[in-house]
Amino acid sequence: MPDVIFLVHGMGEFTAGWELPVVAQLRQFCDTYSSAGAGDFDQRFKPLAVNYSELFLDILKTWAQQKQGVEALSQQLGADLVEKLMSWIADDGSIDKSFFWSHAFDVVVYRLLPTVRDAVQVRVAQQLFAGIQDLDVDDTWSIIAHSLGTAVTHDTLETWYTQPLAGGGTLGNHKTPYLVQMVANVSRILQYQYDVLTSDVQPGKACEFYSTALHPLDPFTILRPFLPTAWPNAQYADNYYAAKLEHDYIQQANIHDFAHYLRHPDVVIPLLRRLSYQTYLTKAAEAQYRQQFQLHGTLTDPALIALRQKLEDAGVALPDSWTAILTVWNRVEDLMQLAQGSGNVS
Amino acid sequence: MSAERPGRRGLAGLLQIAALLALAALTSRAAAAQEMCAIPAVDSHEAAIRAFDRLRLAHCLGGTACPTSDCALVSKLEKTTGTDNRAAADRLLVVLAKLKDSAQALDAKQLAVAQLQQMIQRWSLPSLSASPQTLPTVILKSRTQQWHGQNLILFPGTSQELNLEAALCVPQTAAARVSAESCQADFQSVVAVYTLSDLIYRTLATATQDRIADVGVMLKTYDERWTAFHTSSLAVLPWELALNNLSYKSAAAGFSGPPDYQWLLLHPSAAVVYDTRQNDKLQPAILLDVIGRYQWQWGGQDNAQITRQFGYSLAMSWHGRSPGYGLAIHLPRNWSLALTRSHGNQWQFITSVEFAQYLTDKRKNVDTIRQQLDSARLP
Repeated sequence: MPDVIFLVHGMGEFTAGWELPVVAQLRQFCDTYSSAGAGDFDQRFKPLAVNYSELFLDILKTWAQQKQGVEALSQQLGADLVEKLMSWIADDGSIDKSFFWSHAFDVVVYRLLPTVRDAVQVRVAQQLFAGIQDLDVDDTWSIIAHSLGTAVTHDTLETWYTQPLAGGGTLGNHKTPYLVQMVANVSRILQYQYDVLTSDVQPGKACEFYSTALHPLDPFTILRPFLPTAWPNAQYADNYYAAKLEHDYIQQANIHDFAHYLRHPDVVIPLLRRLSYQTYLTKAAEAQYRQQFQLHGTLTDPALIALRQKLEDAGVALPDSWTAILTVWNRVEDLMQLAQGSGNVS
Repeated sequence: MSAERPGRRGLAGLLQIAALLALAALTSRAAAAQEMCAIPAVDSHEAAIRAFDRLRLAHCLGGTACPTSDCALVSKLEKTTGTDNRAAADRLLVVLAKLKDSAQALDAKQLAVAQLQQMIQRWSLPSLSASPQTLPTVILKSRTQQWHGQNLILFPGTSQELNLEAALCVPQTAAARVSAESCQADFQSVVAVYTLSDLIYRTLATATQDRIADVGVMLKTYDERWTAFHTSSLAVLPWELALNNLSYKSAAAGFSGPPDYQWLLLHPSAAVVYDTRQNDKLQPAILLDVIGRYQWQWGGQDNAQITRQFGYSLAMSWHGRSPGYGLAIHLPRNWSLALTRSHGNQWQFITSVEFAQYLTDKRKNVDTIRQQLDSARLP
């Protein structure tokens, strides 16, 4: 079996195969630029999708079923209190249509409700566990997480690291990932159970390498950016990497998008070099990719200026608190709706 | 008898052929592994890293294709099963002693060998300073991951950690060059060290694998229980979820399973009321658990299903002009019963739809039996 790469999605509803566009993008990049040549990606890596979005959807659908069961009857019998209670719940039809129910709900309940957070961590850990069960000793396993998935991955790995074993010791003594790549890292803004700057999820502990990527205009990450200054310690200084993308890197409305981050050379090149080796992508190949890479993609100048203005407005000076996310919600929702046509809202 | 003999001979012949074919397949597989895992000639940093990467991906460095006698020894240990812990510990110590001997036989001046020998010393291999009785516990509490080669990293998370990208066939100074012979010696050395390191990890893993597998089983059970908690229990509405989070505490360390109880809060359900004034005795009603408690036991095949439920609450009901107030109890099979009293001392007996359905079916059954008895009595 090749090295396993787990892909952990962000907020929103994800179905089986959600990871395929991201995998295709990485595969195409390797096939085009790696020194090992076309076809190497599939020999080297086994991408495995982690999906926890069903858990949120199950909760919403259970609520909707409850609503469906009593709403009409409460109207008929004049049970005003029940009718009012039911009006707070989304019905089945509006779950997909409203940004709050389809995306923001995941973030809010993950942050606020420990029973949901623990359930998500168990769901994710179970998939990680199943994916590494049959790994050969020479293989490694790594995680690429996006958006809400960065917070979920962080919390799950911290819990994994400290999971006691019957007879003594912890799971982290014996099984830890090689690389953790956080993309659009929101683990700090959503931190609750563990302090992400002092937790064990850092190089040399719960993982060997830790990379993060940050866009200065990404409305979700700039509230409390993940830029640890306290770690790594000197021994692991080379095992931490932060890609701070250019202010002007805007190829689409949804700059928070997984694929948008992974297209940037400062993200994809170090990621694949770390997952393989430095000369896997030669300096000449890097230069070639950087040369053809366009910061603004196919956007025209007027479209770019308008989009940048919207993004800058969404991220104006905010209080240093996770609740700040609610204050920009409407603006972010506008951006997300704008992005629906230009990329995955995740 | 005479007719059976040729058949037996034929069977024996077939078995011999099958055994020969199996042996040939094994031999050719071993030969293929030997060829695939043969150490190539390398003369530069880039070539050495590429070759090392190829060997790792082919699982030659302590993995399933590894062709050395040490690898065969560890594979044999992994296949050995038994319930005698003492014997298992003894077998493990024998293998660790053999791996230590192999490590000591390496030239300490070669790349990564000093780190390997320091690791062996630091870990007190092969005994781990433990008696056979306490050996599994000592291994469980130790960080065996330090022996697990990670891509191009040896001894991760230790002071002996070695990144081969920075060390393999790399000159000491910018002006210096690494000769082809020196690079080849470095390469052979790191292959041997990486292989031994992974083999030590595999050997130690024989003492931890059952405990680690237990975590996998636990995660599966917890996941199913959480799904049941959020979708199959009673208090599933948002305000109930919020209330139940106030009394919930995650495990102090490690993953948490859900509680086996919930607080009910403003929980409405469709119900039926038994109304003696109406022609149709069963009338629709709304039952609201204002505040209450619901508990259960985990059961079923995976011990992850909600069973033996019981709950009680202060309840309200709606049927007729004014709401009723009273008590409700909740039982398995979604059976709920409530007794409420509305304005004007009007008592109402309310049940869940499932319980009413059960009663209706019973009534039908009773009626059918009565009809059958009546028809049987007819002359």
